[in-house]
Amino acid sequence: MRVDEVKVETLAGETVTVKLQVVGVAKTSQPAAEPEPEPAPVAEPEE
Amino acid sequence: MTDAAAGSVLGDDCKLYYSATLGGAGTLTEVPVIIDDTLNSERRAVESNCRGDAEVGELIGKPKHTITGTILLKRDSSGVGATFVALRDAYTAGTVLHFAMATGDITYIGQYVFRMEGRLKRWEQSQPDNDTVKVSFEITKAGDNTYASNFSTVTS
Repeated sequence: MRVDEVKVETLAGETVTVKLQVVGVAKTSQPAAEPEPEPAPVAEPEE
Repeated sequence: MTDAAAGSVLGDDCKLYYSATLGGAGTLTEVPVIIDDTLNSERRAVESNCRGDAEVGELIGKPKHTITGTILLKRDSSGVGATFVALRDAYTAGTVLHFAMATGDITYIGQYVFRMEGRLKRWEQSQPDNDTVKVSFEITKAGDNTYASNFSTVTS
């Protein structure tokens, strides 16, 4: 279970750290992976 | 930390927080004097013919989240004006902010929280005579942002 720590500044100016137990997220979004470079073309053998 | 009081979880104790730091790493600041803040969430759907059957089905996709609400503003020194200016400037600049909606003070155990990152898409500022300035706004998830919106519960 994922738990996030979050800082909160109250209206009184006090900073409090709270823990949030996250539900309902299948995965964390990630930037798309860089595509693998295409293999260099293989030169055909000359006859 | 103190447990949240039992009872209604909806009402005028619900709160909205924001942070200019993305990814959930920043310090949340409460948006003071906000009413009717609402999470609007609906899954995309398309209709389709059910194969081999004489009826139409519905394919349900991913949810789309927006947050709407209203800020009540009077010029003062209690932070309302500063928050108004910060959010107005974010609207003007199209800045992505981190938002957290809580069913009450987020520093109490047991509160339910929804977090997402997005832009202020709509900013309707009504200024009726002899009354409070009311800013109705809408926040939509930023398509160029990778933070996954989520629900959570305060545990400690």
